[in-house]
Amino acid sequence: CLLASCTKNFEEINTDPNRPKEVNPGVVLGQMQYRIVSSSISAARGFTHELMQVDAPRSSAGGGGVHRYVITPGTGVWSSFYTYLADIDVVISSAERLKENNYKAIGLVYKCWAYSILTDVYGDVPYSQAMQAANGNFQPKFDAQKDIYTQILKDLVAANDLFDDTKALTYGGDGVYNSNVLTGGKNVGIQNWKKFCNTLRLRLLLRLLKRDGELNISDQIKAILADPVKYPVFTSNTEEGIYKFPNVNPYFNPYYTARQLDWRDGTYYTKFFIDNLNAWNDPRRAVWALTVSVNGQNVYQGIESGYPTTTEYVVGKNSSYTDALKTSAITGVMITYAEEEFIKAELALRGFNTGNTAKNHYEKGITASMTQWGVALPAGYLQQTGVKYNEGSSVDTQLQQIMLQKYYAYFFNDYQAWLEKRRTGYPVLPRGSGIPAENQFPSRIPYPTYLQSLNANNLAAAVAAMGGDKSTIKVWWEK
Amino acid sequence: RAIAQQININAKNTSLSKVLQIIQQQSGQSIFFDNRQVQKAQVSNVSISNASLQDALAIVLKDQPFAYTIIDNTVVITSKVNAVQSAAPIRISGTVTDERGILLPGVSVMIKGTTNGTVTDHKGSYSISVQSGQTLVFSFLGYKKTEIIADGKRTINVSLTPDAAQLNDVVVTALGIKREEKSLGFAAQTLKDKAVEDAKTNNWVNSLTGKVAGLNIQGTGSGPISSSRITLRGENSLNLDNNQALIVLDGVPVNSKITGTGFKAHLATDSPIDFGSDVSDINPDDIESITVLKGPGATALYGSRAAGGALIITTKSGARKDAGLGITYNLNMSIDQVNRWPDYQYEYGEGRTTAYYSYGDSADGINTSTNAAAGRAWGPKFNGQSYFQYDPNTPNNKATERTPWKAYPDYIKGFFQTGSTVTNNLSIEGGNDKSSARLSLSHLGNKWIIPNTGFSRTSVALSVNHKINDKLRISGKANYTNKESDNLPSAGYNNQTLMYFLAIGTAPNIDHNWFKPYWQPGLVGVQQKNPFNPGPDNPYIDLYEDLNKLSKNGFIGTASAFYQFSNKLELMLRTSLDMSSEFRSQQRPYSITKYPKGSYREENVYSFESNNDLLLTYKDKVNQDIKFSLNAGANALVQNYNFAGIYADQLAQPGVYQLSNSLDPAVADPQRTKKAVNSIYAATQWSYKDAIFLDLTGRNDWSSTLPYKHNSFFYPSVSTSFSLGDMFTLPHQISFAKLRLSYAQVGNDTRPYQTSKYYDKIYSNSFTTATTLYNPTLKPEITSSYEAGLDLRLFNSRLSTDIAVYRNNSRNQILAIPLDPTSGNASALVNAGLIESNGVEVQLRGTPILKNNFRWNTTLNWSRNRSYVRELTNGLTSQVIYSHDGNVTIEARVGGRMGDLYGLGYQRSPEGKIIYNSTGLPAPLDPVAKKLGNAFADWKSGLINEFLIKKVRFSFQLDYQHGGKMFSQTNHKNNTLGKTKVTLPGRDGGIVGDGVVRGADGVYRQNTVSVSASSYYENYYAINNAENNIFDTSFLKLREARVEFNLTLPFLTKAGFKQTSVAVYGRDLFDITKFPGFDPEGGNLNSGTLTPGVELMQFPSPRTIGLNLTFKL
Repeated sequence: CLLASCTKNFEEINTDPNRPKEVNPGVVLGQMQYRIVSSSISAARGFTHELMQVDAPRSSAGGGGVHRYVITPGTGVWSSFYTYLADIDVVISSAERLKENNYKAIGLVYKCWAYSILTDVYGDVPYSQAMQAANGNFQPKFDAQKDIYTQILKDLVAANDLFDDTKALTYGGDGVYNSNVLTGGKNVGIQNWKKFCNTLRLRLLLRLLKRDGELNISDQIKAILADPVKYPVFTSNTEEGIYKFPNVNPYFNPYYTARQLDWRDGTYYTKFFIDNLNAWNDPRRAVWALTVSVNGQNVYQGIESGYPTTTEYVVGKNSSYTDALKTSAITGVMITYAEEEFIKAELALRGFNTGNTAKNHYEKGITASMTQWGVALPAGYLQQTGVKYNEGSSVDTQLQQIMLQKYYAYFFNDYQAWLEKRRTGYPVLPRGSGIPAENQFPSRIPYPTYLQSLNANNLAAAVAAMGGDKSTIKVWWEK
Repeated sequence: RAIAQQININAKNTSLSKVLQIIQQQSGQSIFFDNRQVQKAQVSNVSISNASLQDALAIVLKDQPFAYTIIDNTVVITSKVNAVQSAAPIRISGTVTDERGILLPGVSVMIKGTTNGTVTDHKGSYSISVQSGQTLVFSFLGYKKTEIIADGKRTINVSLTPDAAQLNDVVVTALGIKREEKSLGFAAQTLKDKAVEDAKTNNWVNSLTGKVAGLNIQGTGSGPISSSRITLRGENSLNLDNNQALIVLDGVPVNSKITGTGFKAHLATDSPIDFGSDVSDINPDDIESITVLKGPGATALYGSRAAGGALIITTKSGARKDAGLGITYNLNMSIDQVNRWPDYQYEYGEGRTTAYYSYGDSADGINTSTNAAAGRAWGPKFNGQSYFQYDPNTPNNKATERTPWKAYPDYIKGFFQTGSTVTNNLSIEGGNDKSSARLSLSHLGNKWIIPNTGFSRTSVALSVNHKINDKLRISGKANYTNKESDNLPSAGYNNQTLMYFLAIGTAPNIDHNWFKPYWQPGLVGVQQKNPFNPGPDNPYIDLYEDLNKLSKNGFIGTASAFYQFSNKLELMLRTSLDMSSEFRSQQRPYSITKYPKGSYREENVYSFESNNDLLLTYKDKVNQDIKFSLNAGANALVQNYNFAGIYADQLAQPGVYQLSNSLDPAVADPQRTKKAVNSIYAATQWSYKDAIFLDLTGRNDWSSTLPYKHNSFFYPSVSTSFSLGDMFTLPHQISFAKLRLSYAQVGNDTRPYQTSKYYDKIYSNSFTTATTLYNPTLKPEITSSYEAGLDLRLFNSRLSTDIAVYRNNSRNQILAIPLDPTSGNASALVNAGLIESNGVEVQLRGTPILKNNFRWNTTLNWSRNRSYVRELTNGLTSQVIYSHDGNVTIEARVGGRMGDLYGLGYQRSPEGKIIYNSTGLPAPLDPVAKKLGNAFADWKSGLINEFLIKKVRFSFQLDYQHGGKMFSQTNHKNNTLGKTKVTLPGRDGGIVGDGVVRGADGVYRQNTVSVSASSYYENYYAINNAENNIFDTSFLKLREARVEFNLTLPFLTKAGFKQTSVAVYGRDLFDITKFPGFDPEGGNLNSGTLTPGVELMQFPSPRTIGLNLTFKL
């Protein structure tokens, strides 16, 4: 053939020899699980812990800081979660192609989990038109939170129906439960995923309880509580949704190589957080915090949050994160058994039939959190002042008790402590003296600045629908 | 050599001088004749075909009163009339030199009015018998004819003066086609070897800065190899990589790809290392000339890759005017020193409090150093007091007694050294009638300004030409390069770089020597010692243990054959190759923060490009006035790139850098790409009366990277040139005037594998969605260009100017537009946008002084380019081209300019005052990103002056850039940590920021709350406050200065040296700029892409001072 027109092999030349055109869900699931939980716990450590007075920077001379309620637009999981949602979509679509219902159901659970966090953090977010770039839509519209939740709740029901505990995951890949294989003819991992699915649904239903009339929330809660065979939820710590970091290259705890400077030299636990643990002589304290020497005594000691810019806490003189947590396998918290018990405690308190008392659930929640962090519940812990459940007090006081313990159980759990504070007002956090009077406790994170250039029109529509883009704007379920 | 030339002439009623000019052109042979006599002569009818030079001359001169002689390859036309012989001739001898005293061989020495003459020998000497009163005429191509009357002296030494009026240079254009400058319809500027040899740099590309109007060299400040980005006429593509000019070495397109490692802050991925490219490996000693083809009009025949212009490099080939062997030895030695520092303060030491200082807890108080200070210099003033400080001699380094609190002025500068570069170059060239050859050997050894970094480069270049018979000529060129480095520094804002350490790891009270024992006692190789801010790694670990090694072998070669079917038809076949194989390793010891268990990585990079060309040329004429030529050709391009990385990111044993020592299974990172482009093209040139010229070209490409069914695209060009002097009678002051107009299109394809969906590998065994969305319907991008130019030379070419104006439209650009990840991809490949570039280029050249012993040449280059974003795609109004973690972005917004920088700034009151909060600090930044300037300069200029005073040549070059903005990470860090003088005001009494506070009543009142200096500056220079971290990059630089002495010492001449010169030069000697970082000409290296407008911990720029010795034998 002629030199120039000889292009017959061009199609072959333009085929990448190193990248596949199709994948099965197994080779996507594992990395996605690792990456998304790495992102969510970074949000816990980097944002929620500071805002919710778990910790505070030891120096904050520039005047900003989440602890002073200065919320930088776009901080958080927007870009990371949406990036991983693309892989979640691959898990779902490749599972559909290969008729692998378990992968599809796991994918749906992840999708619901991720979107619930996104909408709780930002408000209205792209949902129905998201992930459509391949179909030519580069600028998805934002959906109203109510519409997103309507679909999330449907998807969780669908996922629950798809789980099949007689089948192993054909292509493996699950890093949360060992649902890759059968044990005694049953897939225990898939059973756990089913419990994850329903526990998540319960978390979200409780969050939306204020909007009961709009989405039939209490009926759905009742249906779950009434049929634990059809809608199983967590019943023990062994089932809870924690990504256990294998700490094998490259699946390290994301803080594995964090510098001491960044891990603990610049951050202290707050007085609020440590003082309660001290009062309760809480055994989790030793897992989470370092002691410091004060007058020859090794003590746990925290600092003020929201202090004035002139204040600077010296290094090494207050309790910070233990180095063991940097490399810990168990900080990959998504949804726990403890939370499940605290949810039920509140439901029982609000008159739902959970099969148990609020007090019982409350105590099981505390115990579960201890177990989760590898410590035993000390004798008498539950009976001591400040912990002992006061059944005789007002509903609000009981709720406050539940929420305080739930707050501690949320350690390293994405934004949950903040979301629950927004919903219930608890725990009550002291206001630091250095917080400018005009700054208010945030109800959301403003949208990323880059949306002004990448999706301007839809952003403007969403901002208008929400009444603004400030951190003080309340999302639908909080209104 | 000239004997076998084929001469073809068909002329009627023309002047003899014209015929001789034709012979000169066709034979490539210098022909000398006395102008006045020969010009009167007419030729009525001459028809010569396929004649040798001698036959042609014999035919032409048959009926003329002239004869010719060939003396040492020079044809001399002489009068047949015999001169009157005097009774007593005397023998005169002497030497002929050029204006700089360099001996000139082959100079014709004639006795005026006679046929007697001679030619200087290879030592520039002559000897001739004359009678007193006769006139000797010395002539040599390119020099003014010099007449000297023999007045009885026995020795006459002559120094020839160059003739400025070289009106019709030959220019190498696309595909190596040589054209008369007069006939070009587009802008081309040629640089001679001096441009890259005079003030040598490690990367020859950087020598071009300021020398060509419209040529922009953007450095990165990323290490000894000093990669740079070459653009012509601004930024036409939104894809920054597409804007680079194509480099063509002897017809071979050269790979300018820098295989980057990653880039990211702190610990995220590896730090970038500048390994250079095939372009930076070209040996400047081999370069004979560089022709800069600025726009698509000039490069349409090169096709897709030259849409951003081209630099056509011709290497030295051994073709010499005088026969015999030529040997040149060149020694270049230079030293490098940091030429500019940020304005560091030496008044306050480490800490966050001015109250006291204590290294660790002491009797004075708790620790204020190490992790308490974390690199800040907000500590106490150096007032002669004493504190408990670091003690290198105690086990825990805590002092047992107070020592004087003082600054170490070398606390940063002490980490740098004087760099040195030694280059040896030896070349041998020679030839005879049929063959010529040149062999060059070169070695460069560089020690850079940072200890334990540098590289060496060995180059071998061979060029061979051979004429097999009258019809067939072959030539071959081969360049081999070996580049080795035991350590190239890591760059960027990264835990493993020295520059990061210098900003955040140390303070004025810290002796840099304290970091030198970098292992903990008894834990050598296992645990580093990091006595101050534990954030960054110990700097000496960065330099002596974090090694980035390189070993590269590169080959660029071409073999060509020219076959002359007849005097009208010629065929060229050429095959060329640019290939390189590179082995790199990166080792990291135990205990560095990013790799607690160390790391060892190997990368094998193989790149290959072959081009096969066929070009058929037909030259003819319609009649005396209309001449034309036709070119038709084809090209087949194949590119292969194979990157094989193997990473062991945990080591089983410390200090053993082998893949077998990997703790985990080593992870493979394979990347292979292949691309092929087939092309056919045709071009035709027409001329009318040698006054009006018309060029038409067309090219069609088939690219494998485009969708299979739509991979063909065509683009044409047309250009015209009007030599006004040949059309009209111009005033005699105008030596030459040319007007040119052109229109051209150039198409462009894309990278491989963009048209179908793939999944990317992640980690060792998993896959993820590709971040960039593929596009199965891509179209080629098309750049259209309109250009007009005027070339005007006045006063016998003593003053000349070349002005070009152009407009480039770049449409259907193929680029990855960033998407909000909610769309499912981080970016999408689209045909997008219309970028319009308008510009003006002016070159002014003058020879204000032209005397025998004193000549002054001056050149001013000035250029201004504006690239506007006219359209984007898919309803987008804005596109982020580069983002520095969101703190500053380079955005293309419709209606805006390419290179616009966006970022956040203060909230301001209606009066424009900064709004403060109630605690004395500015309110949170305005969340709406604002345009804060443009990364590209408003205009640039270079002024080059050259003085030739007897045997001394002195030259200097000044470069000025007006405008342009850059975000400085270096300055952000230095200032927020109190390292610079701008952070001194307010240290003692605090600062009341100038701004207003909004009261509850909505009224703005002046802020009255005082804050500490550290609080104020930490806020003022906060990284997300782009408004305060972007600076003007205007500068004036003394780019080059050089003094060269030509030594014609008798003993050297006797020893056979034709030329010996010694030169002292300097480069980047000083700059005047308000930019607060190291160098306003910065940028950053981001995975192989050089990004302007943002500087991320650039290295200092060296000032180079060197000595150059040249011996020619």
